Amino acid sequence: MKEIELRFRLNGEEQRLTVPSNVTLLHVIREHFGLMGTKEGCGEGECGACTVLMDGRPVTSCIILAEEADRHDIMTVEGLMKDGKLNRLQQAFLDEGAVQCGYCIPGMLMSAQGLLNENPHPTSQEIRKGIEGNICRCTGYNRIVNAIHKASQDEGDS
Amino acid sequence: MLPQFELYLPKSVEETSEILLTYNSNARIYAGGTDVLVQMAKGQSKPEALVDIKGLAELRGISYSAAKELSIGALTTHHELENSDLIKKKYAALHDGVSRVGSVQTRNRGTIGGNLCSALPSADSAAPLLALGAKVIINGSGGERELPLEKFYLGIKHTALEPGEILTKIVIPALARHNAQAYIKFSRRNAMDLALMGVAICYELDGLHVSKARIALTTAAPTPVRAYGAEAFLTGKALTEANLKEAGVLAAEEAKPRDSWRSGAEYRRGLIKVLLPRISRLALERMGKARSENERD
Repeated sequence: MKEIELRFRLNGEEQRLTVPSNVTLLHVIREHFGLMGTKEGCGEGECGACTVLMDGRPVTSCIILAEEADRHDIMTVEGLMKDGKLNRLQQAFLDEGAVQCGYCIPGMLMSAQGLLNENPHPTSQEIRKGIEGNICRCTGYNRIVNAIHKASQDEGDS
Repeated sequence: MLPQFELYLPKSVEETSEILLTYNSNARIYAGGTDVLVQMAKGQSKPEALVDIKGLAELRGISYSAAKELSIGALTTHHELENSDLIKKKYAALHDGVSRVGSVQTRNRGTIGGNLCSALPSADSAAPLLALGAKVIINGSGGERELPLEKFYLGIKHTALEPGEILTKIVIPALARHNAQAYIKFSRRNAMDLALMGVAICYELDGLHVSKARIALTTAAPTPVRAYGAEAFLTGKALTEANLKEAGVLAAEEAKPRDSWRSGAEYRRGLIKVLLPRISRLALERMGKARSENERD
C-alpha cells in the first residue's frame, strides 16, 4: 500500500503530512493533529458528529479519505475561535443553552458555520435543513436552532 | 480503520479504464465516497483498489449543447445541482430529487454519477432523470457509447457498465416549451432516510393535452422504473382529476414493490395512487406560476 503525501490548510495553517491511503480525514484530524473536538459517532456518515468544513462546506470526515484533503482547506471546531475568543456562533450556543451532553455540538457548529457561510441570514426552515445531517440524541434541537438564529442576527465578522 | 487497498488517482478516462481492467472486478470507483466508504467501513465491500476519479476534469460541469440538450458531468455533486438556477427553473423534477438525497453533508460530497451507478431502487436522482428522458454517456476501453437511462439499469446494484467502463455524463434532451414536472420523495424522516416511495413526472403539453408523458418510480421495483401503462393512458388527454386518479391506479398496478421493514408492498402501492395525482397537481401549479412570471417579464 502506497503512502500519500499531503499539503493542505488545517484551521488556517499550512500542513504537510504523509499518510497511508486507507486512513480517513477524521483519523488524521484526531490522531495526527490531536484535535479531539471532531467526534466519531456512527463512522458511516449518518450522524454528523464528525462534520468539518472542507473549502467552507460541511462534510462528514469519517467517510472521506485523508488523501482528499490535499490542496484543500479544512476547518475543525478548533478553528472557529479567533484571538482566544469564541466566535458568535459558539457564544450563541452558550447563551441559548444549546449544549446538553455536548457530543453532537462540534458537528452542529460546523454545519451551522457552513450554512451561515452560504446563507448569512437563514430562515428557521433553512436552519433546520442546514442541520438535517446532525443528530442530537438529547433532542436539544430547538435551542440549537435558536442559537443559530441568534448568531445570524448578530452583526460583526466571522 | 478501513481495510487496506491500493489507491489510484488517474487523470484521464483511458488511464481509469486501464486500472479497472487490471483489477478485473476488484477495483471500485471512488467519487463522493458516500456509498463506497460506508460499505467498506461496515466490511461489506473489500476492494483491492480504489480509483479516485475526481481528477477527471471532463467529468465535471453542467452545460447546454447547440441542440439544447443539457449535459451533466458524472462528478457533479448533488449540492452543485441543488444550487444551480438552471436546474431549479428548467429541471424542477431533478432539483426536487437532488435536494432530498441524504443530508447537507451527503449532498456536498455525493455525485449524480455515483447515485446512478450505485443502482439502488431508491436513488432520488434516478426517477427524475427517467421522467426527463435522460441518456447516459459511457466511456472506456471500447470507446464512447450512449444508453437510455432505462437500459442502464439491469438490477439491484447492477448496471450495464462493462469491465473498464465508467459513466461520464448524463444528457437530458430538449423538452417541449410547456412542460410540467416534479418529484416527490415520501419518507418517514426528511433527512438521511430512503424513500418509501418516490414518484417523478414530466408532462410535455400541447395546449391542455399531454403530448408526451413520462412517469417514473423509485422503490417500486428492483430498479427505478417507468410506469408505461400510466403514461400511455395520459397521452393525448387533459390532466383532469379523474384522469390523474386513473393514472395513479394504473401506475400502482404495474409497479412491483416489495415488502421490507421500511414498508409493506400494499402500502407502497397505495402511496403511488395518492402521490401521482398529488405531484401532478404540484407540477401544474408550478408551470402556471412560471408562465405568469414569464408574461410579466
